[in-house]
Amino acid sequence: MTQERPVSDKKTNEKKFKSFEEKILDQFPEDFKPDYKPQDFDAVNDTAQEIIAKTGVKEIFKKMMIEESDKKGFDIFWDALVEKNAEKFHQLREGLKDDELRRELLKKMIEAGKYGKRK
Amino acid sequence: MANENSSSPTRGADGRIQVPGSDMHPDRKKTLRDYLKGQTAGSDDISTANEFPIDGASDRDISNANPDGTPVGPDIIQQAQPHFSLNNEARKIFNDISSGAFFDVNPDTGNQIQTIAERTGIDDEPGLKNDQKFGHQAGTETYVQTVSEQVSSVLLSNRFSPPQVADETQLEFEQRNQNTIDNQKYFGDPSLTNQETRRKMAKLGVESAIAASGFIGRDPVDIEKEGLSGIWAQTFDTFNISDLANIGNGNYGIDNNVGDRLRDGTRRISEKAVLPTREWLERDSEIEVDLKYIDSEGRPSENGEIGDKENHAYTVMNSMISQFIQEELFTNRQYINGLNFMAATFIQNILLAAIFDALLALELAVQKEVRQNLRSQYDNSPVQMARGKARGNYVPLSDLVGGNSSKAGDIMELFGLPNVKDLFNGPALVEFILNFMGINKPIQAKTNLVVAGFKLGDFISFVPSYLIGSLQTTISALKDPMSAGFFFNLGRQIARKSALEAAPSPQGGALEYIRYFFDLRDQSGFRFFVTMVNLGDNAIGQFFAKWENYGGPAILNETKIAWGASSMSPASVTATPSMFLIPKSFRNFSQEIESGVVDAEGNFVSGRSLNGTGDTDQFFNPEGNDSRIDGATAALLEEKLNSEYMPFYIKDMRTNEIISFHAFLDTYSDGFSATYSGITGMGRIEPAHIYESSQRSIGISFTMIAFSEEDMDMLYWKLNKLVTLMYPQFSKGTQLIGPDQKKFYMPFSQIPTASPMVRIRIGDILTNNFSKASAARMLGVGYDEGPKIVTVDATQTRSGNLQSLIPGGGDSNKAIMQRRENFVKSLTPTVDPFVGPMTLSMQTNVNFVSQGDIVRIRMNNTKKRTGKIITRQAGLVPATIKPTLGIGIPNNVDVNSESKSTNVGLSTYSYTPDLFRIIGFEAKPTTVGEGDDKQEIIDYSNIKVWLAFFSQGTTTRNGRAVDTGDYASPTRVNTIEKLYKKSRNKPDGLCFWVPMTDIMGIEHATSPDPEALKFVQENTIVKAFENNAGEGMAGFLDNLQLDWQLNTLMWDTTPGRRAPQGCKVTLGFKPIHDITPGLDADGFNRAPVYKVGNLSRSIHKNGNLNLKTDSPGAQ
Repeated sequence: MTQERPVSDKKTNEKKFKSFEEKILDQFPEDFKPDYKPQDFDAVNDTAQEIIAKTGVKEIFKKMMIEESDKKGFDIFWDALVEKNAEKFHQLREGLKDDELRRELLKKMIEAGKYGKRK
Repeated sequence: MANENSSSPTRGADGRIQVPGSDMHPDRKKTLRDYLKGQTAGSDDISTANEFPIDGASDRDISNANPDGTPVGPDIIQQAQPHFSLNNEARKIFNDISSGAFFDVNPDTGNQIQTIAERTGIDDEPGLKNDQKFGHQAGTETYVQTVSEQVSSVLLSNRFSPPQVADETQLEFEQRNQNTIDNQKYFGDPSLTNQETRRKMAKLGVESAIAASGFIGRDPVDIEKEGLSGIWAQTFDTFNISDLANIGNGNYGIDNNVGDRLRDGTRRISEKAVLPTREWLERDSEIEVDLKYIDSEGRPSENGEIGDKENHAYTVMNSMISQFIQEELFTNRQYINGLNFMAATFIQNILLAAIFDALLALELAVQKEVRQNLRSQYDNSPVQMARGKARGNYVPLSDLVGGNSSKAGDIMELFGLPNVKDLFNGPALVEFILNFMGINKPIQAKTNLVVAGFKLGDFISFVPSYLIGSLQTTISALKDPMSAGFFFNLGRQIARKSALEAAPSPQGGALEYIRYFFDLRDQSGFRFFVTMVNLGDNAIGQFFAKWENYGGPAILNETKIAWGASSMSPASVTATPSMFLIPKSFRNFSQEIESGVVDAEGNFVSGRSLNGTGDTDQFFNPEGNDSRIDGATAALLEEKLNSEYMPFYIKDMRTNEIISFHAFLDTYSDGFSATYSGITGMGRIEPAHIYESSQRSIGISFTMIAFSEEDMDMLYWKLNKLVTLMYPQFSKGTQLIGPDQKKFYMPFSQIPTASPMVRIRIGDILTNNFSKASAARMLGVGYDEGPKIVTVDATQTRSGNLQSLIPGGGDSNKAIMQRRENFVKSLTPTVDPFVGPMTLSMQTNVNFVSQGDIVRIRMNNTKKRTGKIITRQAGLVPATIKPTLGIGIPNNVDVNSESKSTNVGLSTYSYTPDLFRIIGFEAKPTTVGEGDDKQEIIDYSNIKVWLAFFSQGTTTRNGRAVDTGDYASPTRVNTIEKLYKKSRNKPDGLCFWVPMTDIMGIEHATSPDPEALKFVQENTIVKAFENNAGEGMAGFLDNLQLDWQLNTLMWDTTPGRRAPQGCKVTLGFKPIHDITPGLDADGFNRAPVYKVGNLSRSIHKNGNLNLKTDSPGAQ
């Protein structure tokens, strides 16, 4: 099909009146796309900080805030909480690296899971 | 209740209510509303002007805050409002009016019934605003009451405030009146006396007023001295990370600047919160009741208990109020809190997901066999599995027992003895873990998680599943900021019961770990985790399933095409665009009379773009004196509308304007009637009917509603346009020359010219019934004596060319490559952009092979060389790709020999080859060049030819059919069986591709005859349709009714828009079919009117009628 005049996706006029829903959507970050994909990670060797950083979720959360002070507060909150949880994570994972320990754990899990999915 | 003695008011002989005392002054007979309206307007005098005029128009600051930021008390408000002041005449008048007419009277005395004040006996206690009685006596000087006081008294007399005897304690009252007090939470303290109870009620009113006034909270605390304040203090405290100095070994310590910013943020949050402060309440000496509430920092009162019902009630109230006063929806406290807690949940759970990934990864890393087994489950090559041939949990037999002693495995199965390997093999391990966690299988998330060279991420990975699931949920939840409070509470519940508890010490051994993981499962946080993993996994699975089974992005392109572009836009809920003509003559006119309808740039002043883009309505502005929108532009818009969820539009054939609707279709009726003439003959009583004519009549009604001012504009613009469809288009009229030789048209000399023909489209149910195919049938294509579009060639005429593409003796590679290149250059993609994985969209323009040709192919017995069959999906077993083994021409047969036979020993084998039809070609686009020179070209060098099965070949030995040899191998039988089955591989069921070089010859070649094609493509029928093209059904509107739905629809009351905000439109439509329905000479449906469903639509398929006749190959 021929097209006689150049057209583009860009809207030429901003809407003067916006519905409530549009106002909400306007406050969403422009680059927040649904086709976000996680990066590769190494569950065995990466640190908790690295795994979480690779998900990129912190930035997504921050984009959903408006106030700079909220963003700063969130930054601190997030990093501190990651740090706090990382400690548990690393300790837990270190234990799992013990073959004997892990094997015992897996046996119990198999025992618990052999009758089907837990409800 | 106070009016327990109530009865009907006393009425006179005329039935009118008798009012004690004198008759009312005429002014007092005004309605209460009129009276109050007049009174509340107030005067300009600040002391008497009403602070809150009823009409809401006030040019003065109506803040009730003191200079220090605290709100003014209720006394000041009362004094400032005349109708509230004690010595106001108006109040007396009001009380007079109310004293008789609005309240029940005692039939015995003619007076008002007993008041609460009388019953409780505390009516003379000063100072409390609620200590009044209402009713007849309230009109006297002694018991003057304000309107608000009377309202308050109603509050006191409602079911939440049962009357109490003076000095009766709450406990005594409850005992006496247990049933009515049960729901009353406010008076929960049994030690309160009646008076205190009343004060509580009074204070409740004050607090509500403060909450509604937008009180500004106290200054933020000094962060250096008191630490973080407000929301962040609360949040940090919840997660025990409030010791900022130690966070991140001091790296996260807050310096002064950060502290300032935090303070600012906190203060802003506080300012925007609508919360009473205890400071203010406590400074009011008159009200001493110790209330519990939420303070300006969002914390419960020190005197209150966390979780107290009163606190809860305040929290809910404040949350509700705050939603309506926020300037920014995304800065309110509940929203930020919601984000914080969802973020905390995320951090904990994503690490938990990583733990489970690590658990499997670590085990699989040390067990090579388990890894291999997991891989073998997904391998396409046939593997004999233990316990029958089912894939899934069971190891390949070879793995299970090793070597060739496969029978040992079978024996173990026979005894029902589980093998250790069987239980601990890769897929089983994964499944057990999933069962343990309570997660549905399979995990569909795919990542590049690699363990010891093994790509575990192909099979299982919890991190992406949780990530997708939780993000979807969080974003969906928080994009509705009104529900932030809910998600705040939800997130808090989950985050507090964190899934990632303090880890067990490795020194504690396996037992501690086992206990840890088993405890984990019982936590609510873990259940949230499982739900999110399942959700994410489903989302990922659906995405890939759609991608793989429905042709990837191509299907999305087809269902939704952005206006004027080919990029996809999956969100299909958009305004449906219309297009209206603003002709040059009108623009000129508008500018000449400076009406302001068209601006300097020629844009139609409507808030709408002229020749705009996007999904909104368009105004088309032709450069010249066109009185129509050009066909290509209109067709482009129709194409766009076709990708809407449910296309519904009317096209004005006179101007090509398109009126599309986002409307609610109320009714749709469709009827046919036929007319016959009756002829009676000798000996027949009944007339014999002779067909005369048929008529179709369609009724449509739909409702349009405006949701915004813009909608309102366009709704009425479209309605006006609809009205023009009931009237003709007029001629310009007779041109005259005036005294100054100036030309003008004679008024009223315009006469009707074009009839208002339209095309209406509703989904696929009301469309045109035209197709090139049906038109070609009318020309006689298909009849023996009719035009022949396609010529069927003998093989030999073209096989030479084809053969030249296959390496033969003496050809240099360069020469072959050159010939191939020439061939592929002759291929024309008919759809742009050219996308994989399978595109049935090319045609040859020279005499090689074309779509539709029947060809023979080389038989392949190795997996690598041949094309692939995509097997159908069966139940849960997904579609897979298999090599096309065993079909085609055996390699030892000379395909060029006439006999197609070969001698083996004393026997002569003869073959009839399998035949296949070419249904398309595929070539990969590749990117060449860099920067500005970057472009995508189609890589023709590795072209695939897509084939569908046409007919099965046979083998004979010495003239008798045999079932041995290449042509009867089990692989071949298997392949043939699959080829016969249907799959999702559209359009022709199961099909497959082979490299071009596998084509051994052409059995029948088809190619359109350009002349014949031109004849059927460019005859008068087709041209007539193309001139008036459109997807909708052509015809005329013979009825247009507008129902304004007066009792249903709202009216806009702004000047210029004082009209209903919608209407119901009813249309009567008389269609004119593009091809009159009926049977053709051979008894086949000429052109089905309902183009719905594959069967009916197939009649309208155009096939190679769409080929361009001006292409090189067609010349």
